[in-house]
Amino acid sequence: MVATSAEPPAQFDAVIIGGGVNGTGIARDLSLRGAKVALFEKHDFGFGASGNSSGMIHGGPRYLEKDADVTRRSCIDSGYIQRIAPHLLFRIPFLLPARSPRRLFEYDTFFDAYDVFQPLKRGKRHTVLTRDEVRTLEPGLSDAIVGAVTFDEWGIDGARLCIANVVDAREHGASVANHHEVEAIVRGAGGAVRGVVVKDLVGGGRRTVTAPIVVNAGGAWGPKIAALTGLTVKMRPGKGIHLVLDRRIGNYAVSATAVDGRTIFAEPWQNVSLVGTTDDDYYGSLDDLRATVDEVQYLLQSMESVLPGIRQARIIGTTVGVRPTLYRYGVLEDDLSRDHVIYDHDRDGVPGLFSLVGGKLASYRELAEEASDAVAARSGNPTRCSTHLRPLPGGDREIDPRALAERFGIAEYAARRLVYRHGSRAERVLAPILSDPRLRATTCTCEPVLEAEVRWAVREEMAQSCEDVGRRTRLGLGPCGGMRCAAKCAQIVAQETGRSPAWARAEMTDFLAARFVARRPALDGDQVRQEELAIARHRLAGGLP
Amino acid sequence: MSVVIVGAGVAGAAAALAAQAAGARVLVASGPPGASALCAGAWDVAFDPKAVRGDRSDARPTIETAAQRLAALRRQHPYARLGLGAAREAHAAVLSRLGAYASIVWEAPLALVATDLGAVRTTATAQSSVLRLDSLPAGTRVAVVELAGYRELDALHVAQSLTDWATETRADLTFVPVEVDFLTRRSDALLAPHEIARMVEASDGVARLGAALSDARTRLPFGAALLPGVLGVADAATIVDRLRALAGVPVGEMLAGPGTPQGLRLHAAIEALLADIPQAPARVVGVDVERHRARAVRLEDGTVVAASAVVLATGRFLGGGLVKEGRVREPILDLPLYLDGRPATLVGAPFGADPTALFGQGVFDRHDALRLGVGWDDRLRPLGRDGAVAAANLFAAGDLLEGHDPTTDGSGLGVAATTGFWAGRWAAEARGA
Repeated sequence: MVATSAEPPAQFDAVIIGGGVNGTGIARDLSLRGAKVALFEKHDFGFGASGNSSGMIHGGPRYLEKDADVTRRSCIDSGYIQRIAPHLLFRIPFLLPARSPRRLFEYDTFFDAYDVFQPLKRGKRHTVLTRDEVRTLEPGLSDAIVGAVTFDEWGIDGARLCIANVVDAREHGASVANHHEVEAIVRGAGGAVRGVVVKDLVGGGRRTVTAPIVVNAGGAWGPKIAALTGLTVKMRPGKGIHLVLDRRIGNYAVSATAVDGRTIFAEPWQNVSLVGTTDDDYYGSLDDLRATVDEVQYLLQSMESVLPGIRQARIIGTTVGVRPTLYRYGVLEDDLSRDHVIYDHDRDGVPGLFSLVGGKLASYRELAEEASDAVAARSGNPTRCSTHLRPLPGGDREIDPRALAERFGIAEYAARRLVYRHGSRAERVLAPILSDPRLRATTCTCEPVLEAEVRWAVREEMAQSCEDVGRRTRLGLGPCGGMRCAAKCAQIVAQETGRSPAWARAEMTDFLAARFVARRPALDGDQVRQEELAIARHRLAGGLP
Repeated sequence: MSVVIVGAGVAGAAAALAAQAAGARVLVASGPPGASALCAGAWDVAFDPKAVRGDRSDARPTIETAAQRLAALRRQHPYARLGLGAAREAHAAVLSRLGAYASIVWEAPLALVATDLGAVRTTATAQSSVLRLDSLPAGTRVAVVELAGYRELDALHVAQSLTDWATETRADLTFVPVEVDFLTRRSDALLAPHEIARMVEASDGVARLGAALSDARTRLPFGAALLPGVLGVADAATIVDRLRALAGVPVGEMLAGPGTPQGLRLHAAIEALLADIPQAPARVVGVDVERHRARAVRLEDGTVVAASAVVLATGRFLGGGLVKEGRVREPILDLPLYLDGRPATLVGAPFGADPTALFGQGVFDRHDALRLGVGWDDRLRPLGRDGAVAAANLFAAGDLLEGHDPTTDGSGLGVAATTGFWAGRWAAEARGA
C-alpha cells in the first residue's frame, strides 16, 4: 500500500510506549528538542522497575570488576541527575562490614579504585573503620564484624523522577497519558511504522494515533510490545524484591553477603528502610507481581548474618520489580551486564520502531539521550540534547521548608517532605490552602501527606486512583498500610474525578487489598497485630461483604 | 489466694465481675490495653448471617434471632457451645455494671448505626452518644455534620454514601451535609479526635457546639444530627443530652475508627468496673501448673502470685494473647492452637511459619490466623497437648478462644462478655483446695 497525497500528516513525530524512567526521560528529551511526542503508559508512571528499585542512583561499585565502563558512565550521569533534580536526592552513606582483616584490606583496595569515580557524582571518598568505630556508628552489627569500609551513594524516589520527567515533557508540548494501553502498532508501506492503536483503560474507548516513529520503552514489557509487530526482542527479565521496614533502622546502609554469595543491603530510605534485593529470572505475569515467602526469608536470613536483630524489625510491605536485563544465555542473573542497547528495527523489517533493553536508573538520562538522538536523526531534527543542563520541575532553586511551614501554617516536617517531593514547586502545591484552609488537613499521617498534595497529585500529576496517589506521595505506604488514609484518599480522588461514593468505597477496598498482597508474604510480629486491627476496622465500619 | 484474671479487656472485666460475685477473691493482672480500647461505640452480639446487601432496612431480625442463626451456622462458636441462655445471663450482669451502653432487649430488632466510612451496619446496642438510625421517625432529614477544618470526616462524601444506603434499602431517611464552626485556631485542624473531644468537654464547648447546631438548623432544617465521634470521653452521656436540648433534635455520633474517644470510653468504663478489684499492672509471662492445677502466675517484673484459679483473657494478636514470631503460638503456656474444633496444622517453611498459609490472598477473606485460638472444653477450659484440659482450674475467655471470628461474625464484645462471665464463674467454683 503506497501512501497517497490524501493521507493526513502524522499527529506526532514519535510515540513512546512505556512510562518508566526511560520512556518519560525520552519524552522529556525529545520535547525539549521541539519534537511533538505522545507517551502511553499502560499502568502508571513508575509502575514497573523504575518505581520499585532500590531507590538509589548508585554508581554500581560491584560492576567495577567486570564492566568498569558501566560504573564510569553511571557515575557521570548521576552527577547530571544531581544537577537537574537536586531536591530528589539524599545521601546514603554505606557501611561494608568485614569479617576478617584480610577482607577489610581487600575492600580498602577495591574502593581506592571506586574513589576515582566519586567526584563525578559528588560522592565522598571511602574510609576504613576499626571495630570500635564501626560499632559506635552501628551498634546493631554482629560481633563477628572486625571493621568496615564506608562509601557513599545517593538515594532517590524513582516514581517522583518519572513524574518530574513526564510533567516536564507535558509542559513542553508532549501529550502524555497513563492508564492507556497500546494494543497494536499500525504499519504502512514496506512495513514502516505509521502509528499505534491505544485503549483508554479508565474511560474506555480506543483511538489511532499516527506517528512515523514508535519507541518501545516498555521495560520488562518490551518483548511483548515488540511482538505486536511479530518481532522477537530478547531479554532476561530479572525479578527483584525489597522488604520495607517501618522505620529507619539505622543511619547508615549496611551491606551483607547473602547466603548464596550475592551482595545485599539494608538501607535507610525516606521514612522507611529497604532490605534488598533479589535477582531471579522471571517468567510470570508482569502486571500482578508478588514477592514470595522464599524471597522474604532469603533476604532476612542473609541480612541476619550482619544485623542479627533484623528479624525483630517490623516489615510493613514488599516492593517488586522486574529488570529488563540484556539477554545472554548461560550466565547467572547477578553476572549479567547492566549495559543498555537500543535496537533500530529498520534492519528487522519494521522501519521506525526502536526497542530499548537493559539500563540502570542511574544512567537513565544517558539512555534517553541516545534513544532521542536516534529518533531525532530519523526525524531530521538537528536540535541537540539539553536534559543534562535544564533542571527538572522543582529542581531550579532551593526552598526553605521552615519558611514554607510558617507561611502556610503546616508542620515543618510535612513541609520538608513536600519540598523533597516537589522542590521549588512546593509553593504551588500549597498555594490553594490560602483560600481553602481545609486543604491543610493531613490525609496520611505516616508520611505525612496533606490534603493539598493529594488534590495536586490528581489535578496536576494525573493520579487516577489511591495507588497512583501512593506512588506520587507515599500515602498508604507507611506503617498503617492504608488503614488510616485509604478511605480519605479514595474520597478525595472520587471528588476530584467526579465519581460516586460507591466508587470511592471500591477504590478504598482495592487499595487496601493491594497493600495487603504486598505485605502478606512477610507477615510477622507486630505487623500481624496491625493487620488484625486494620481488617477489623474496615470490615466492621466499611459495610463490606 | 485469688482467682487471677489475666487481661483487663471486656472478657477479663466480665470474668473478674463474675468471680467476685461468686464469692472469690480476685486479682486482675494486665499489661497495656488491647482490642477493647480500640473499639468503636457499638456493642455487637451477632451479625445476621442471612443478611444480604440491599435488604430492606426494616427487615432486620431480632438480636435473639441473629445470635441463633450465627450459632446454627458456626458450630464451634461460643453461642453454639454454651447456648444463648448463657449469653443472655452474662449480658444482663455485665452490661448493667459497665454502664456505658444501653441494655440489650433480645426480642428487639438489631439497631442501625452509621459509620464514619459512610456505611450503615447493625448492632445489638451502642454507647449512649451514638445515634441510632432506627430510632428516628420515618422521613427524618439527618444532618451529617462536619466541624469546619476537621477533615477526619468529609460530610459531603458521607452524606452521599448514606443516601445511597437509604435508597438501596428503602429506608425513609435523607442525609444532608452540614458544616458548622467549632474549631477556633488554625492549628486545631491537626488535632486528634480525643483532643477535639476535650474541647467539647471544656467549659463552653457544649454550649458553642449546641449553638452552632441550632444555628445551622435555621439555615437548613434537619430532624437529627450525626456527628463525628468526638462528643467527650468522661462526660459523654450528659454531653449528648445537653446537645439534644440545645439543638432541639436528636444528636449522636457515627461509629468512629480505632484510637478515638469511643474506645476510650469503653476503656474508662472497664476501669470503673474494676475500681474496687485488686489489680497488678504487669503482663503475665507464665503460669505454673503442677499436678494438673494452676498454682501461680508469673509477672514480667519477676513477681510470682499464688492463684486458686486462673482465667486467660489475653485476646488474640492485638492484645498479645497470640503472637507470631516465625510460628504462631500462645506465649504464656504454649497451649496448642485449634481451628474449627480441631488442632491447627500450621504449615511451616524451614525458616519460619508460612504467613501465606495463615492468611488468605484477599485482605477480607476469612483468614485462618484470625480464627485460630486455644481449644476449649464445655467449661471454657483450654485444651493441652494431649487433647485433655491443661489444668482443672485454668480457664480462657474472649478472643483467645478458637471458634469465632470477631471481624466476620459481628460478635466480638458479645463473646467477650459471655465467655468472660462464665469463665469467671466457673473459675470461682473450681478454686477448691
